[in-house]
Amino acid sequence: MKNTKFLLPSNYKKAGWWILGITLALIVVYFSMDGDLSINYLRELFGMEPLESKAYFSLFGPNSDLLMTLIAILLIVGGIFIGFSRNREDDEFIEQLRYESLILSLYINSGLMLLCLIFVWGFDFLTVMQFNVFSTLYVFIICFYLRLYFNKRSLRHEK
Amino acid sequence: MKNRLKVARAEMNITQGELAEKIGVTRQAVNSIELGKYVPSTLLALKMAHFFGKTVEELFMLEEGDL
Repeated sequence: MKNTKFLLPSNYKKAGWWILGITLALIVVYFSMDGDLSINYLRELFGMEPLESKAYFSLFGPNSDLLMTLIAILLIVGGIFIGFSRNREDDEFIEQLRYESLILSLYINSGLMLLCLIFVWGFDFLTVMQFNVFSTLYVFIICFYLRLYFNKRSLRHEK
Repeated sequence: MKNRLKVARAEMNITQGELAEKIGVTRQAVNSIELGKYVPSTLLALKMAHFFGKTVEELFMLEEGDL
């Protein structure tokens, strides 16, 4: 009756919320820092000379922003854990809600992208593209949990 | 599609929650089916019919717009 073949076990959901909480704290740390958290930044903190950067696009290059990379990874992993782990009570109706929320999130994200393509230019668009990496996933999570909430709320008046 | 799920429940004097528990779905699923917001799968419809001791056609009926 229920098809949860591709979903993670339900205990991943709690881990996902913890990961998201830690990520939000790291985001606060990131914006309160002067520069990127790179190997060269750490070397300067400890009074060492910066390394020559030969590989600009390597995660382990001396000027690569390690903290932002970690934040991005945790946002994706946390989002997947939250959005795609089984609920404690899962049935075909919840599955249908999940499926519809996924489609809705794609529509919403595509609509937002269309608006940004038309009205946002230059480096601001680069910022938009950075958000776009995570936005579909998190719009899905918001849609799904909102629909679950409104559904549960409507039960109060029913027997 | 319309259904007589609420009537069948009343005849048996059970709540949505009790029915949901008996047939292995959430109360939200039962509520949505009763309100016509959700069409159950064949398996779920058969389970409900079996639980109430009725046929699927006695519980769920096609409407003009469905044909």
